[in-house]
Amino acid sequence: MKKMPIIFLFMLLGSNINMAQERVIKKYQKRQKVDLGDLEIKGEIVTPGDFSIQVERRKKFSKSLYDRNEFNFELRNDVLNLR
Amino acid sequence: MLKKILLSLFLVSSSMSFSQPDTGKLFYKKSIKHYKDRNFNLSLYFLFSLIKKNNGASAKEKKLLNVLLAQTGTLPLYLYDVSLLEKISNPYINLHLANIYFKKKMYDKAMTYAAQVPKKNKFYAEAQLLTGTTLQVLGNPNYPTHYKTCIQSASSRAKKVSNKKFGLYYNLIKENCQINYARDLFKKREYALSNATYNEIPKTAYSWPYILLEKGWNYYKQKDYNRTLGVLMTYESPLLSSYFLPEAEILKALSYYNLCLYKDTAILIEKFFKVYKKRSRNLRSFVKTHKNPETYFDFIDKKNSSLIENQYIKSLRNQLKKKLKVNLHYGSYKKAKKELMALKKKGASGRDIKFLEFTLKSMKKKIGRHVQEYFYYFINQINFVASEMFNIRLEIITRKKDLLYDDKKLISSRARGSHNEVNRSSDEFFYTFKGAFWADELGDYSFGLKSNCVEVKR
Repeated sequence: MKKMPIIFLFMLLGSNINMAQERVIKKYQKRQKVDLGDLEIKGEIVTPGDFSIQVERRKKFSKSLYDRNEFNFELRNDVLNLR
Repeated sequence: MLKKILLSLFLVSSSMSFSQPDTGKLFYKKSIKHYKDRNFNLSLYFLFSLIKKNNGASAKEKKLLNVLLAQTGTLPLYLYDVSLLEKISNPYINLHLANIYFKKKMYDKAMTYAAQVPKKNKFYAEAQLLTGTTLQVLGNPNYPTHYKTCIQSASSRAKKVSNKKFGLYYNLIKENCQINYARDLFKKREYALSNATYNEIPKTAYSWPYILLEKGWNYYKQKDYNRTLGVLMTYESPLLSSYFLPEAEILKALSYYNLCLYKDTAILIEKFFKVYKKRSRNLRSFVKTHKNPETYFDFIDKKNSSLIENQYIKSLRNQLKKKLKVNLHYGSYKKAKKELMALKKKGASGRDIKFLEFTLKSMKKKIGRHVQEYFYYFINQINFVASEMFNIRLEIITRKKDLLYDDKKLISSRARGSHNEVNRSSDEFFYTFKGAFWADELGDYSFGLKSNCVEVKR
């Protein structure tokens, strides 16, 4: 029981010593240039190589509009209108 | 069918009532008597009874037949059985049979009967027209010779006749032959030549309003849309207001569409639906309420014409009355009616009066059915044109959508029309219309619209 205060005292002194060791002050440059072009990124392309998005020509639909190539109906009709 | 049965009953009963050995003589006597009394329809009836009895006609009877048919026209022939008519060789009957077989699309028979009309006969030109048309419909290349003969024969006859109506008839036949020739040139894609043939037909001709549409197609095929629109513009003239040609509306819309004047096309289509929807409704209700052919006869009969209130239906009647068939048949009907009135006045036998009443009723039905057919044709035309107009409208929407997707628009900032856009031949010139009369220039208009089909970036 008499040893307890002595142990506590040693512990307190030990912690003070550790704190004195960790206090490191780092100084950074106020301006720093980073050349991104010089950077090399290492990695793997996981998408297929020929994959690309192309602007395809839109299909244009057009209806065949009325057209005439003969007057056969009128030919017949004119005769039927005679008698 | 029923009328044929009834007529056969008339013929059979007449044979029974004259069952003595000299029945033939009696028929002939009766026929001559009625001819002298100017009862031509009755005379014709007795003559046919005789022909039926003898199973053929003698030279004397054929001569009488010719004289009678010149008076009655060919309408009464519809009352007699074809098998009976086939036994008689007569130009009127041959032409009548040729027409019947033409209608039935039995072209070989039609040509056989048409070929039996002799060269010196007054119907030779018409028979040539029928043969030429038949060959043309069948795709036979030998048809032009028939049209040439038809034109020659009709022209010389038209010059000789003193009767105005006969003159009109021959001119109409001649015009039909010319038109058919022009139509064939159109089919052969010789559009300029086809229009030159159409231009030979005078503006005063009965067929002229109808050929404007066909001329319009020739210009359209030559991509002269301004001229197409100009020619069709003629239908707006008050002089041609009674002509009903909805196909002209399609051609107008197509011309605007090909000039990429979509707004004008849309306005035209809108106008078409607005105008023709009402007309179609009027026609439909008329057709639905009137199913008896005799009502349609009344439609063109002068006495009953006041019953028609609708202005549009009235204009249709006017158009129909100008048709040769309606004119000829209506003339035959009037003569038969006159005959009946005279017989009644004289106090003729009940049997004769009954026969003439039956003849008149059959004639009315025949004419009425023809008019009725036209009504159905008009309705179908409107429906057909409406569906085509709808297609053009859809196509405009598609084209507009395409422009939008392509981020383009049509160049429309330019001037709307210019004299430079009018194509004209050496014999055509501009007219200022200052104090001019609206008629002589009909059919020679041209628009001066510039094509709007140049696409520019938005």
